[in-house]
Amino acid sequence: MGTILDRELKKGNAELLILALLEEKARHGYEIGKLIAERSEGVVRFHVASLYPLLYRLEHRGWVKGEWEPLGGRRRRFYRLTATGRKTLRTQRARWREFSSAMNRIVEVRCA
Amino acid sequence: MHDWKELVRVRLAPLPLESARRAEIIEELSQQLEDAYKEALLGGASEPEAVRRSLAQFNDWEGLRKDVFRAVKAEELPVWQQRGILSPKRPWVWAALLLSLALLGLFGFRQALVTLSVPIAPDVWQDRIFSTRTLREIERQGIAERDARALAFVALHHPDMNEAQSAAEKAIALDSRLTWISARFASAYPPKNDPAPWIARLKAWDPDNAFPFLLEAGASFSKSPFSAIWPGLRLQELRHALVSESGFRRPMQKAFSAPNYDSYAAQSFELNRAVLQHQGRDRPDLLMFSLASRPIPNLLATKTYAEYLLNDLGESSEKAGRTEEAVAQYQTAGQFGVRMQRASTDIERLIAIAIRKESYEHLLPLLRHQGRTEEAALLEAELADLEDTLVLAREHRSEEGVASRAALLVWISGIAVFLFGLAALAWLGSVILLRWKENTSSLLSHFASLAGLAPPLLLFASLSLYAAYYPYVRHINQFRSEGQLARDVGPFWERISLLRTPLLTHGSWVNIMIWPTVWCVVVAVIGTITLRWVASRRERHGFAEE
Repeated sequence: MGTILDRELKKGNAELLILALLEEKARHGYEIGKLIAERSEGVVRFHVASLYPLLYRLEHRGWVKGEWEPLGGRRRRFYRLTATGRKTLRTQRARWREFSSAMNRIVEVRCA
Repeated sequence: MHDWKELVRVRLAPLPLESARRAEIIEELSQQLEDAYKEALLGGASEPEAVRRSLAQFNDWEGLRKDVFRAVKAEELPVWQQRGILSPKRPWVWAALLLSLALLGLFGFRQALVTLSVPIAPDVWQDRIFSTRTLREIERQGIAERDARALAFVALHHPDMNEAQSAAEKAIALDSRLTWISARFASAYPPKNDPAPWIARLKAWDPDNAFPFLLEAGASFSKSPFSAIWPGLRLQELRHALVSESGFRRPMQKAFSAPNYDSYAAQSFELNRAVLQHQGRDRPDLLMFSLASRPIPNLLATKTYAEYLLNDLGESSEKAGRTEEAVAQYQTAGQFGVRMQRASTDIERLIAIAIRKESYEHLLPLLRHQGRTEEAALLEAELADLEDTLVLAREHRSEEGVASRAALLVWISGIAVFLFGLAALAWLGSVILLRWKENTSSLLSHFASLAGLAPPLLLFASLSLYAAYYPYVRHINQFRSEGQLARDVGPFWERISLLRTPLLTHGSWVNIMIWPTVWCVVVAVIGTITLRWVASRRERHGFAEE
């Protein structure tokens, strides 16, 4: 049951995670994967085989834009948010806040 | 130095995208592998361990290929580009389909399929296999070819009594040896039919046979008021009531003294088998069920008359000291039993054995009392034989368990063959369409990917059906008699009939639920398509529209 819930949460919020990470600056795929693991202190781990198809999907939707840029003597594909992506991030973030605060209100209440 | 790009290129091939985009993806993924590899080395991992860790990131390349294509193109990877174990590019999927088709070359497999596809409950049998239309066609051919047997077949099986009698008249006119078919009408009672002229015809044609007289007594029994109230009567009262009717007693007397007992089983068997073969229906089940409609005499009336001879006439003569008269009555019943036991149906034989046993049990003490020890010893031996016959019959029934389990397996496999056959056909149609036009529909492509499982499942179900049915594979000309047919395949087909009858009979669950189920499936399919369309629309436009 826990596994299914985890999977659903990850699936629903994977887009939000990536969009949020790209809000600060443009990043390449390897960096995104590492950052998610680091910032969540290992709780959230992205399977690399899912990360790249997701990036391509976001790109196809026009939420992010991938561009090759030089880095460390070779070129890397950096992803940055588009205007549509920023708008989507705002909407998704607002939803997430609404959802997480609602969850907190339920979970954090102790029996009197 | 590892060539990560080449590795990704090979493992993702073929990736049907524009070459520039494909090259970008290959480069990006190879960088991911290379970065992970270098990180592992820096972390102190050995070279092989670093390679292993790097490659472990993508353990399902076929899945990745599909996901990448779906993400980039927003549609399913064309089924003909897939390399999964069940994709149409895999030869074993086609081999499974071809092997399933090749099984059709086996007579036994064809017989199993055909027999399972046609209902065999007697009423449905007449509707579907030999419908009125088919029988009319057989009659037309019979008249054109002056084929008396075809006409006799129509006479035996046509549901309309007038049509059947008309065919019977034509058959007998062509070949008087077929007069025995009159037995069908001699055993059919009013208001549908008047059996009297047919009984008279049969008696005139076969005067030494007990059978027409038994039919005559049966007709008299059915007309008498006792037929309606006999369950309330005691056995002795019933016997007295029956024998007081001359229309019953006289034909019974003639039947019990007739030198032969022939219920025309052999003739009926030969005729049905020949016509079924001529019609191209080499099926033991049809032969068996065509014989099921063969008339047999009223066995209750026959047994009751035998008891009248033994318990009333015989015992009263014995008590009155008329020993020879009693012996004669007992012998009449016993000898009739011997003649009747030659009949082919189990029920006739069992009644015959019961009559013989009862007769010998009456006769034995009388013979001993008269000092006829040699005759008594012979009779005792015959009684022991009768017991053995009954034991064998019971043992035969125990074999029915095996037939029952085989029938269940055949039935389940048959349903699986039907369902997987439909799925395999749908799969075949979809992959052919997608081969011709790759981007016909994403949903169709998705279905073709999933339905790739149908051909191997069809092969498995077909092999299971063939293996389970194999012990019952027979050409109908392999059966020498109705008895052999009943013994060899009877229990098996009876069980199949029972399994399918609840599905087909009027008022059954399947019969009632079939159309609501079809509607539910249609609504579910339309609903799924609509939901998928809405989902793909949302995916395409996403939150940006909000």
